[in-house]
Amino acid sequence: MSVLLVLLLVVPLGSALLVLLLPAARGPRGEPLVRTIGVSAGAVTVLVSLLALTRRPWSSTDAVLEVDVPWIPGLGARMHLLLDGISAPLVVLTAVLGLLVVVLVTSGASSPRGSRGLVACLLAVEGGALATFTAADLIVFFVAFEVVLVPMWAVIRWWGDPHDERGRRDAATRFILFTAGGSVVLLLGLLLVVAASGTTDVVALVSRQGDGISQPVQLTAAVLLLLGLAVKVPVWPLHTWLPPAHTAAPTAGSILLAGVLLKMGSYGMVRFVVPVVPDGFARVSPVLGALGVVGIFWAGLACLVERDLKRLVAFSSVAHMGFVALGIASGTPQGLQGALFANVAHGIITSLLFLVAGGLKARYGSADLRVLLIGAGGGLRDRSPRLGGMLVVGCIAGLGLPGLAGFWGEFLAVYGAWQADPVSTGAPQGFWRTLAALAVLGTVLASAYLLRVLRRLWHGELEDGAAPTEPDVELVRSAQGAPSDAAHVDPAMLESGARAAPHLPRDLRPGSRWRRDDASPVEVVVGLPLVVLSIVPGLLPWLLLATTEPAVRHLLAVDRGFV
Amino acid sequence: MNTVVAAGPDVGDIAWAARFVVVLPALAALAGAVVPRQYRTTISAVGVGGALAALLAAVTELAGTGGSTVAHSVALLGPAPTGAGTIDLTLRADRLSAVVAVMVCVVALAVQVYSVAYQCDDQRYRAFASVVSLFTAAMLLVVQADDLLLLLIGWEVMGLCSYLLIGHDSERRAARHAAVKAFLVTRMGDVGFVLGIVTLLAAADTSSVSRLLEPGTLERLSTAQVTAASLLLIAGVVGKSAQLPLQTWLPDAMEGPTPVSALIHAATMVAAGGYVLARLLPVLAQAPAARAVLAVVACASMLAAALAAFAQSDLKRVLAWSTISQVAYLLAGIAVAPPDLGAAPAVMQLLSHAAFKSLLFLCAGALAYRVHTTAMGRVADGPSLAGSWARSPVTSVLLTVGLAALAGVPPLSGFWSKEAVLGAAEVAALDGGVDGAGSLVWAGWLVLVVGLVTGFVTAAYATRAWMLVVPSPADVPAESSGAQLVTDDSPPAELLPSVPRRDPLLHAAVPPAMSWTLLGLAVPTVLAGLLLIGPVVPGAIHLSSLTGALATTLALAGIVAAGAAERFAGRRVPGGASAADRRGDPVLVLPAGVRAFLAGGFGLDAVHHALVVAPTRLLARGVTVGDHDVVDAYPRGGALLARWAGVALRLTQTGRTTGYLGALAAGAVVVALAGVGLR
Repeated sequence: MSVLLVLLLVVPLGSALLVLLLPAARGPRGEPLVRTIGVSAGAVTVLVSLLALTRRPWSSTDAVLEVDVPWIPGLGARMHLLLDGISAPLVVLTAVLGLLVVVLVTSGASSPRGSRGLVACLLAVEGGALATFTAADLIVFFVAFEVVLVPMWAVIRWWGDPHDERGRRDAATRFILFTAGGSVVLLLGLLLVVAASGTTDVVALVSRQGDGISQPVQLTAAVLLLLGLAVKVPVWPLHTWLPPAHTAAPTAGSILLAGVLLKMGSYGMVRFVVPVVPDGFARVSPVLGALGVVGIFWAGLACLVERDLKRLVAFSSVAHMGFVALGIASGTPQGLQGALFANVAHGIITSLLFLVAGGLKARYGSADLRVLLIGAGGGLRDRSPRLGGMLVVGCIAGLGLPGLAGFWGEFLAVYGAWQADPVSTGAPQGFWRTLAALAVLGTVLASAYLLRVLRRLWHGELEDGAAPTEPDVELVRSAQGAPSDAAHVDPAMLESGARAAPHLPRDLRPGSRWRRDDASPVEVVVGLPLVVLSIVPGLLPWLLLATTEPAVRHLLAVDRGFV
Repeated sequence: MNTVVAAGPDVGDIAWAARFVVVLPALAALAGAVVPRQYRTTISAVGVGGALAALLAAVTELAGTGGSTVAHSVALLGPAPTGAGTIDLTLRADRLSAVVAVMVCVVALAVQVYSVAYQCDDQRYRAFASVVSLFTAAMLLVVQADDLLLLLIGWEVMGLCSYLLIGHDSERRAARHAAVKAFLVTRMGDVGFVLGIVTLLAAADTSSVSRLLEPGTLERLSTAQVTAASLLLIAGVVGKSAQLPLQTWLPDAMEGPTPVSALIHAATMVAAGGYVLARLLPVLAQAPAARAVLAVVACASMLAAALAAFAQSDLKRVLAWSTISQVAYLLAGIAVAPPDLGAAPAVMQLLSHAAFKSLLFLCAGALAYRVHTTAMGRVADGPSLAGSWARSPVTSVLLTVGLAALAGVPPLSGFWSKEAVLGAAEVAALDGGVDGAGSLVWAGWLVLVVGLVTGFVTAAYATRAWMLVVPSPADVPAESSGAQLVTDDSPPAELLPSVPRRDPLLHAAVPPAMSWTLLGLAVPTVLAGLLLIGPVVPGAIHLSSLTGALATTLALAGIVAAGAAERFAGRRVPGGASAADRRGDPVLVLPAGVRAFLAGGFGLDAVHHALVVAPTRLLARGVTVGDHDVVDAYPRGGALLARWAGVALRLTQTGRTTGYLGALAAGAVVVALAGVGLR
């Protein structure tokens, strides 16, 4: 039994309870305590996850980091946790993002509700996600998968966009209904697998590679499991909960949503579908691949005309997760490697973009590209070079530029789809190669919409190259909640932007020595690691690929001749 | 080039040299980006120092590899396991990479030194110098890469750098537009490039160029695989090297600062496409169909771009179109490369083009430094380059040298390299080309004929550019009546203010950093022909006195024709113009409609818009509507259904006992009837 693995879950979940229950943490006077507990819990979790890496969990298929104790004897379920090469990158990513969001909410923007509940929710989400990524038992996986939902709902519902009460409620309800609906289907699939195979243990299921489960049952189980997980990924057309959720969620929530929650779906596919019901999965995989590619195009096209920056980044998530779906669907080692790489890369890059988008929204009261530009009084390039720099790195990495993190996952997913096996998947090679070619074309779309963002925000170009008009002034004012006075449009208003914007990060309030237009120290502290992480895996892809490779080969039973 | 990958005695030095060639400018880019903005001298020193250090490393590499045909594989970032193999991410040090790396470093150094003066009051000089360093590093990565994916990294990072540099003056809408256009159009071509790499990777199971070129590897692949891969790679090259029909981004890219144009055209992006094909020549050799396509595309681009260059009214645009035409020579040389000559003619053209094109662009910048425009000839209400001789005689002489090299006047570099390409075409045409099977005879003839004709047009547009820039309008005989505005059918000069707008008094003379750079670049422009006899260019060159004489005659004819056209145009244009507007423009011999068609780039922008941009926009609008009204209609409908069901079911919950009893009785009756019926 691995102490590290236990600590990995107990620290964030325990701290969440502590923050919630400790009387001293209540009220405004408890804020420093909340911050101390939250940040130290996040930091300890990062430390534990890094210590876990020193045990080289990827180097062998024998579990070096494992917990296996009886849990629900009636169901045959055991508390079986396992950290291997596939989990390791996601665990580290979750821990790092968990720390960053806690830092962000405890030293950054204030909320009238205080940060106690928010920190507790974020830590609970982190702990639940870590449990999901280490679960080696179907029941444990399902429970962990569900644990995350309620705190995330609360984050969106209570700490979301302060300007839009109704939108927040709607988005939170959508989020919970979609994902809970998916969970029902997922549970049916899991129970079907358990009933057919007689075990809930994933290690056993993987080593059997679907032996003993009849073809129709495999197919049914694969459909149910994929459907349930696809809601979370989200795969087109089950994505409509994501843009509102991201728009309404606070920056910290968006980061966890994009960086951690979406990954639970794709991780579930890799771990609990591909090796567990391989024949059934292979039959469904052409559909999954095609839906992934449709998502790439659908979301990419939507991004081309989307005006709200946060919605745009959310849609781009759908496109990026389309590559993940394509890679998984290919059923090849390259495709799975690509999907796992893209998972992590997307988590980093999208977090960076949401950090910038959230920061801009907090400053100027809206994430509308036009309002932001007018509010900022010009392109970020000169006005706010640090925020602008982060935006550039995020966009360039997001469009999959080779040499940055976004590239390798997408390339390997395409490569995998190119190599997909026409016999087992039942789809002709031409079909898979068409999907691969279309996916590459989708990267051009990604370039188009992300360069559009840069052209608007970084270069500072209004829609038609025109000067701000009177309706723009109205837009900015209403975004700022200032009383509108149409009779007197003061051009200086455009310059000053949203001076009175509420919910400013603490270190940007009046009297602070930092220029409020540019990134605050907290934003730099949170953003810099994300910038570095957006670049390093792109230059040194083996960092991730060598970690996941043995486990991927194991899951696909490559060395046993199944592929 | 059937080179062997082997470890020689001095392989350690060569390996480090190859790594330094790539890494040093990259480090300079990083370092330059973090130096505080106000330390301009430090920033300049980092930029220039990075290029200089890379040059030293490249020269070391050349010294180690120059004499031999051995290639060294050098580990850099990899290997990365894909789950079914590895991606090595190695560098390759051999004669070809060393020669081209030296060329890239020389041009990069020239651009860095030149920009210290040229960008002297640029508020964003730090970003500029840093991105130029990154650009250099990316090109050197392409040059040194032994792995197709490493090559792709350099290839695309160059795209990013071109985006950043073309849009450097982002205050101007045209610059922003050109930047996005350059990135998107080249990335469109890169769809093919990426898929070509995937095809090769899937077929040969390796992304290593060395292993791909090993004897036996390519023979294992089917013709269909090699042809598909070659065609896809060529698609990427067509985008990056701005060949028809993806050339539209290059003339617009003149919105970037002039040193950037020199970098993009001479040493990096545009040249990269030709270099990659030269590197992968053995792959193309297996795919005659792909080579035929390449020959056709190159010939079309060669001639069309030369004609377009003839009709431009801005010196930088003339040079931009001439790049398309000259790089097409390079690609044509690859398309018809005979087996014993290899890519040598193309590499020769690459090197000489780099020399004279960087000289020409930097001369244009230096001339514009005084007048703040790159418009040629007479411009109605504004300054133009006309009469540069009176203002900057030395720069004018150097510009003349560069234009003469472009026109292929012997014995300048452009003459020799063009001869090399035409010689290769002649071999292909007469001896039956690569396989001796006669598959490329027609391609050889095509390249030979179109190459000679283009030589004529090239000489004509170079002469025209010279006439509109160098001589003073005053030394034109008074009887030739002037035109009103020679730039009537081209974008007005104010669209191209890629020249710093400064107080003219501050810049009375061209600073020494710029003039010395120009002088330095003039040396290879004149002397690059010596490379032919040196051991520097890998492979051999075939020169034929017949094509040489023919080409020279045609070039001279082009010069004479331009002169004659000028006289003719001067007479034909109606008078009534002021004394300053007396000189005729040779292009006026063409009908106005033809002029507009050529100057506007054959209307391909409109075609792109109609075929790609407009449909994409339409689809995007459709998707936005569809996302809300179709895809999301189902969940919303589901929610609505649930609510209605709730409302309907609530009606039954009245709370009145009589109602419930009635329903119970009715139910009992129904059940009873059903029981009776079923029996």
